[in-house]
Amino acid sequence: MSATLTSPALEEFEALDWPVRTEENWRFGAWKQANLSGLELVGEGTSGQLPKPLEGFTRFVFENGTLVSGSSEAVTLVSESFGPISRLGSPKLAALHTAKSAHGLHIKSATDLSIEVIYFISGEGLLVPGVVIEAEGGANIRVLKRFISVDDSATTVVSATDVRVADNSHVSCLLTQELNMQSKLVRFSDSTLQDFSSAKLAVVHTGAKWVREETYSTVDGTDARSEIFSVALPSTGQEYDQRTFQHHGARDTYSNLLFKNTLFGKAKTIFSGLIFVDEDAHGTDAYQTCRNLMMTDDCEANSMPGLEINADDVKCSHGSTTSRVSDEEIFYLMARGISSRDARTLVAQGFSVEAIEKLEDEQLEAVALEVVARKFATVE
Amino acid sequence: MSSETATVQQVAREKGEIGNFSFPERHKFDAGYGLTRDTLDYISNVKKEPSWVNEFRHKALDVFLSKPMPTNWATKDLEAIDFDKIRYYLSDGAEPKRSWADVPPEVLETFDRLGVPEQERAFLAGVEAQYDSEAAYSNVKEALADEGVIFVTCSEGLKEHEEIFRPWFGKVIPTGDNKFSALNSAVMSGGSFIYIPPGVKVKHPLQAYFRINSENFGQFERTLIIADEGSEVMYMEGCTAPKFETATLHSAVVELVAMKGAKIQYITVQNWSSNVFNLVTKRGLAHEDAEIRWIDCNIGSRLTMKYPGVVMKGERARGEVISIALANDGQHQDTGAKMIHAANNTTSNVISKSISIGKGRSTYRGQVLIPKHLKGCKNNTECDALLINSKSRTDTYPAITVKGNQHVTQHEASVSQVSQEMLFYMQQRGLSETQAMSLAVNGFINDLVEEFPMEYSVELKRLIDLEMEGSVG
Repeated sequence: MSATLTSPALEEFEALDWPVRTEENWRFGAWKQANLSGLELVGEGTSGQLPKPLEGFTRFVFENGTLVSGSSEAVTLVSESFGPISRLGSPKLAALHTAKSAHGLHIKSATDLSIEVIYFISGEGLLVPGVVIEAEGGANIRVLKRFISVDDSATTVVSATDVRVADNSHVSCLLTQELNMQSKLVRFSDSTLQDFSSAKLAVVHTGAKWVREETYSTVDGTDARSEIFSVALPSTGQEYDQRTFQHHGARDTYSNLLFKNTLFGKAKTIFSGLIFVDEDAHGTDAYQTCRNLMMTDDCEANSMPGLEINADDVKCSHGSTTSRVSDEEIFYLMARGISSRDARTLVAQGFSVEAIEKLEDEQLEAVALEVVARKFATVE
Repeated sequence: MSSETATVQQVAREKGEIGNFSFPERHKFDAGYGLTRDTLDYISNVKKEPSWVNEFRHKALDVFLSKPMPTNWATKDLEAIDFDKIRYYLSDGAEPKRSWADVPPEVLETFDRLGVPEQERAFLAGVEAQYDSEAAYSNVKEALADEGVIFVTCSEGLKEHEEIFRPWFGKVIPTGDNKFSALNSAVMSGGSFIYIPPGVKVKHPLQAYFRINSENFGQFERTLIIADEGSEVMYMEGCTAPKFETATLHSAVVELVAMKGAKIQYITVQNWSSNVFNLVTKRGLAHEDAEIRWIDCNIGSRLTMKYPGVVMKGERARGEVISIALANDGQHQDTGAKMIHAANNTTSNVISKSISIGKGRSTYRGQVLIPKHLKGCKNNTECDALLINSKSRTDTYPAITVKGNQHVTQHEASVSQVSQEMLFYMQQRGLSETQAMSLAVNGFINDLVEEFPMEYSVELKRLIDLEMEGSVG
C-alpha cells in the first residue's frame, strides 16, 4: 500500500473514538474488547493442514497476509481495503480496516463460479483481511471462506466482506470461523442486492474468545431476496456479539434472517437485529428470527430483535425465543436407548442444522455440518 | 396575570408570559417558571410538608440535573423540552380556571361524540375546578373506610400515614431511576396514596375521580399503592375524553407494592392534548404469589414515553402488561414494558397492540431480564402493529436477557395493514370506507379492549371511530 493512500485513512482512524458503554449499538456488549489500540500487524504466517478439497471449487490459501496458492481469472489480489463502513456502532474499527488492510481478494464474475478461500492464521497481533464478491450478468457465485487458527497465539482478526449482487445474479457465501480460544474477531459483512438478485450469506462460529459481527444487508432492487443465516456454538470463555440490519429500499423485496445460538458452559451471546423499511418500500416481506438454546445454567443470551417500519403495505415479523432442550425430547430419545448426554447433543445438533439447511447447497452444508460436529465433540 | 397570584420568580414568569398560554388563568398558588431550589421550597411550603420530604426533593433535583437526556436511545424530540419555560407547581384552590367560552369547539364536539356526562365535561374542560363526586360516590367511600382502606392524596398520605407510606415511598422507583423520575421526585404534587389492608378485596374499581382535588390529573403526579397480604384492588386513572391541557410537560411516577398473594390492576387511559410530553415511570413490586397487571391505553399527547414494569420479587409472582397505543399525525407513542424476574417460577406476559395513522409513529420498547441462578421463569411477549396510511411508522425494540437454562421466553412481533379484501367486503355490505376501517381497527384491538371496564371500553371504541375520521380516502 502506498503511503499517500494510507495517511488520510490513518488520520481518519485516529480521529475517531473507540466504542463506549453508553452507545446503544454496544448495549450488553463488551465494548472494552473493541479497544484495539497499540495492536501491531501480525508477521509472516505458517501453514496448516489443508482440508479435503471441494469438487468444482478453486482454492485460495492465505498464510496470514500472504496468498500462498490459488489463481483464477475472476479473482484479483488487491493491496488495499475496499473501505468498509460501520453503520452499527464501530466506525473506528471500520476505519482501522481501511487504514491497515494490505491484502484483499476481489472476486468478480459474470459466469458461474465456485471459490474456496482458506486463511491459516497464526501469531500474535492484528490481521486485516478483506473480500469483495461481485456477481453480475446472471452469474451464480459460491464462496466458502474459512478462518482457521494454526497455533495458540492471540490473533485479532478485523475482517470485512462486501457482497454486491447485480441484476438477476446470485451469491451464496459461507464463512466458518474456527479460530483458537485466545483470538478475537471483528467482522463487517455488507451486501447490496439489485433487481431480481438474491443472496444467501451464512456463518458458523465455533471459535474465538470474542466475536463482534456487524451484518448489513441492503435490499435495493425490486424483487431482490436476501437471506442471512448464522449458527453459533459458544462455550465457556466465549462471547459472541452479533448485530444485523436488514435495509429494504425498494418495492417487493424479501429478506429472511435466522440466527441459531447454542450456548454451552458460561457462554454469552448478544443478538441485536433491525429490519428497516424505507418509506417507499411497499410490498416488503421481511422476517427475523433469533433462537437461543441454553445448554447450561451459567450461560447468558441477550436478544434485541427490532423493527422500524415506514411503509404500510408490508409483511414484517420478528421472533426471539430462549429455552432449553425439552425434557420430553430427551425422554423420547432415552426411551430408545440413547444416553442422556447423546440425546441432548443430538437435539442441539438438529437445532443448528435447521439454519444450515437453508443454504440449499450440499457442498457448503457439508462443510458447515463438519465444523459444527467438531465443536460438539469438544464440549460437555 | 392577576395580582392574587403568588409567585417566587416574578421576573421569570413575566418573561414566560409571552409563551404558549392562551387562556386566562388565575391560580391561587403558582411556583412560577423554571426550576430552582426556591421552587422546591415553595412547593414544600405551600403543601406544609415535613422536612424529610423537602430534603428528598432537594436530593432529587441534584440527581435530575446530573443526568443527561436519554437521547442516546430515545427520540431527539425530547430536546424540544425547555425546562425553563415550564411551571412546576400550580394549584387552583377551588377557583374555576376558565369559562365555557374559552374552550375550543373541537373539544366540546368530542365530549358530545363520546357521550361524556355533563358534570365530567365541566371538570375536564377546566370550567369547574372540582369534579363533584360526593353525591355519586359517597356510599362507596364509606364502605371503603369501614374496611380500613386508605384512599387519599399523596400529600395527605405522606403526612398522615407516614408509618405505612414512608417505608415504600421511592423504593420501587428510586429517585435516580431515570432523569424524569428524578424530576418528578423533585417537584411532585398530586396523585394518590392507597393502602388496602390484608385480605380486603375492593369490589369497585377505585378511580382518581373519587377525590375532589384539582391536582387530580396533575403534571407531576406521584402515586403509591400498597396492597397488603391477600388483598385485591383495581385502580383507574385518566379518561377517554381528551383532557384539555395547557401545560406541556407531564412526568408522573407510579409505584405499586403487592404483598404476598395480593393483586393489583392499574388501568390508565391517556388522552392528553397533542402538545404534551408525557414521560412517565411506572413500576410494581410483586411479592410471593402476588400479581400486578398494568392495563394501559395511550391515545393522546405529542410524545409519550412509558414502559410499565413489574419486578417479580417473590416466588410465583406474576406480572402482566396489556397495552394499546394509537398514534395519529404529529404523535409518537413510545410505550412498552419491563419485566424483571427476581425469583423462581415467576411468569410475565406482555401484549402490546399499536395503530399508526397518518404520519403517526408508534414504538414498542421492552425489557425482559432473567438473572442468574433462577428456575422456572417464563415470559411471553407479543407486539402487533397496524399501519393505516403509507406514511405511518412503527418500530419495535425489545431486549431480552436470559441467564441459565431453566427458563422459557418467547417474543414475537408482527406488522401488518388492514387488508384490501377485508375493506372491500365491508364496503360491499354498505359501510363507508371510514366505517370499514374503524371496524377493522376495533377488531384488531378488540381482545385487549375487553380487559378494560365496560364504560371505558365503550368510550374507547367511540374514540377510535373519531380518530379514524379523515384517515382514509
